[in-house]
Amino acid sequence: MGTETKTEGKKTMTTNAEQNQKAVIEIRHVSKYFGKRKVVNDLSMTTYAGEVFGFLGPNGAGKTTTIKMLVGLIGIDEGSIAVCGQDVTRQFEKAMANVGAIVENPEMYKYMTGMQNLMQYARMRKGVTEKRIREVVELVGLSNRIHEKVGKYSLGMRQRLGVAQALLHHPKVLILDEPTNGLDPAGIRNLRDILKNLAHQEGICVMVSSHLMSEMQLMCDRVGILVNGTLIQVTSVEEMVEGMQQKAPRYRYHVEDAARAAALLEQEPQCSVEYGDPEHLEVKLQGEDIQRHLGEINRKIMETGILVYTVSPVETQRLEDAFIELTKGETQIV
Amino acid sequence: MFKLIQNELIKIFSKVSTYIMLGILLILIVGVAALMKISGSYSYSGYTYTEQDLRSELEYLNSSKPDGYEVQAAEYEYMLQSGKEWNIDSWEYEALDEAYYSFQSPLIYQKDMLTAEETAEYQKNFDDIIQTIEAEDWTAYANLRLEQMEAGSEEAPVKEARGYWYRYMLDQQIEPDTGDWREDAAREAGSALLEVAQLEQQKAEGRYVSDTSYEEAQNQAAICEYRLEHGIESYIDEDGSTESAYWTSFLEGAMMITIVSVIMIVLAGGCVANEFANGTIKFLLVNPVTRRKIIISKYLTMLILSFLLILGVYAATALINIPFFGADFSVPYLTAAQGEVSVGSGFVYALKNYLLEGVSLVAMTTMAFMISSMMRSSALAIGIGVTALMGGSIVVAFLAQLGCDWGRYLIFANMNLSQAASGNTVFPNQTLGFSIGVLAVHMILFLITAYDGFTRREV
Repeated sequence: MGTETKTEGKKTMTTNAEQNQKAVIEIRHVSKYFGKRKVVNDLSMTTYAGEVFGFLGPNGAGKTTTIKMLVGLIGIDEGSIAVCGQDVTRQFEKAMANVGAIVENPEMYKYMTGMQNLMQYARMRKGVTEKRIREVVELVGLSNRIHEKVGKYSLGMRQRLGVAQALLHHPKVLILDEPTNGLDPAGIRNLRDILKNLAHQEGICVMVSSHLMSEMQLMCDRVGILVNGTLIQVTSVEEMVEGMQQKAPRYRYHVEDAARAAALLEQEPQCSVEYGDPEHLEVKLQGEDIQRHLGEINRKIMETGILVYTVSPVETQRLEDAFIELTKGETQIV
Repeated sequence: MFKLIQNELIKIFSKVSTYIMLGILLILIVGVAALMKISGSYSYSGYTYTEQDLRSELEYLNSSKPDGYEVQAAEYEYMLQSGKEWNIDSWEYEALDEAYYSFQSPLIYQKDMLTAEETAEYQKNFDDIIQTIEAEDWTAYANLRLEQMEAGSEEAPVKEARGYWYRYMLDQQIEPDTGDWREDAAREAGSALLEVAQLEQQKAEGRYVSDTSYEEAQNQAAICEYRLEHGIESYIDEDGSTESAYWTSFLEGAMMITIVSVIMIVLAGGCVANEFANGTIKFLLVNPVTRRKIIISKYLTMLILSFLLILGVYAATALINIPFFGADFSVPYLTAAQGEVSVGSGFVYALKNYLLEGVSLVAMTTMAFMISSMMRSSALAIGIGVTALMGGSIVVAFLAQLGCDWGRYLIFANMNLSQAASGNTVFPNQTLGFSIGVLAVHMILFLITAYDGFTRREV
């Protein structure tokens, strides 16, 4: 299954490139070792301007490690990473001039005000005007609290200050590591709107890492799934969900005698049955002509005299399920 | 780079703890000045013999009869019978000593060897002096002494030097024991000139004379004569000692640099480590600025701060001592070489002293900076830094005592450059050049370690 999805991922990337989008982050065959353990394994991927890219994976999959390599916090053992065509190791300053980032927790100097913190970062970057600082503060909605000491900020406010900091110098890439951690639903929604707007209106490439799949489903255009340091799939969110749906649609039966119906269907080819309670069962169909197959199954059940009350397709699968399905078995190694 | 340094300074001066440390420093400067004021207000005025003192001294001398007690006993006897008060710093007491030890002593001990003429001569000189004492006539006494010296058998230059003080006092019409500074200065000049004359005579006689002691006497005489000529009451000498209370306190204040060292160790120890501890390092390093620039600007910030703090303590001490001791600014720093006096500013000399104290400050700050960058622990950096600052010299002294000569290669044995320059070092033959070399090697090692630790660290 792994090889299959990988091919599919590559196909998706070609499609995006064909849509004439500009490659922003190019990761080529990157590996990283912690001691002897390989935490990132031959990872290659590209993200484009104007998209929100979700970097998904369970804890310890290597998401943060990859992001740290991307922003130069740790070295790259094998391969290379370029941002806007600049190699992050050899042309660090030029590459980072295009990057805004929050890695892990948004920790700022607590003994300074939000504004003083932003001034610190403004001095380290080129072309940040006072107007721009006011602009980003406005954007993240901190205008009325910006002159308070950061020590008094809530986590959500610090997260927003972090975003403001990352946006100061008009970066082409915004990298956020677990940005929704510790945010309340309103905060998450607010952040989501900001990020989507940045990507879709201003053409910034936003890269977000998370293990909260449901959240990413709402936020991202594309996702890359990382398990045990290996990128197992890169695809658009819709394609991923649809793909799962088409490959193995599920139907829920409400019948008179579920046990007998299940025994009958188990002899059917390309059909798997999950027995629920005495009146319910779920059927997963595979193969070419699903519709016809479903009709035949229905007829068979009715020919035996079992009453069929309802047959309904199971709700569109969510990204979360897709993710769990994809990483099934592999996560156990972690 | 300038903006990075600006950032570092803003970080340091946004913290309350920085101001607390500076406040403590200021309080200590004031405290030391106040202590100097209290301890310095004690003034020395010579001891005055009481009748009781004289009686018990006499009793002791007459009972135990130590060698040559007779002159002393005769002098005490005279003092007791005169019924006057005898202050040991008064000219009368000095004249009495002169009379008994120069003229009475040969009459007692060499009685049999003296001719009748000689005896009469000694007796006359003795009587003359006693007469001036009883008349309480200093001018007469001074003139008498000059006459007596002239009649003596010494070489002309020696006579000249011996009489210097009396002549100066007579010329300037200075009464002794009136607290005029010129009295002491002239006395000092006289004794230095006397030593010069004696050494020259020894040289002429073909005897060995050490060049340094000759030059020292010559320089001493030159400085005293310069002071008398230019009316300089207080001055700062080569070793930094001075009569001026203001300058004593100001120069002593250089020890406050140790407190500055502690402050700098705290700042340098936290400089890199705190970024790690607070998690801000990740925000610092994702900026489009290389780590090389960040670590260099952090170190430069420490150097700039060290320098500013030393200057600050210098200026603060100079100002804070004014209300305690008065603005005694005109005191010069006098040195002499080959009998030539050179006049320096006390402020320049004090600044040099303060900056020399800064050598160990910078060395220890650099060490703390290295530990901070290498270990990411401010507690460790501050702990080791302060321990080294305080305990380093103890360890070195201990090693020297045990005869471990390798101790000279330790940084602690080389931090006191003024000591190294004067040759007064813990280990023998430790030159200024050697000390600077050892310091340089250590500093380079510290800086390379700090740089390497910071630029290669995985965050």
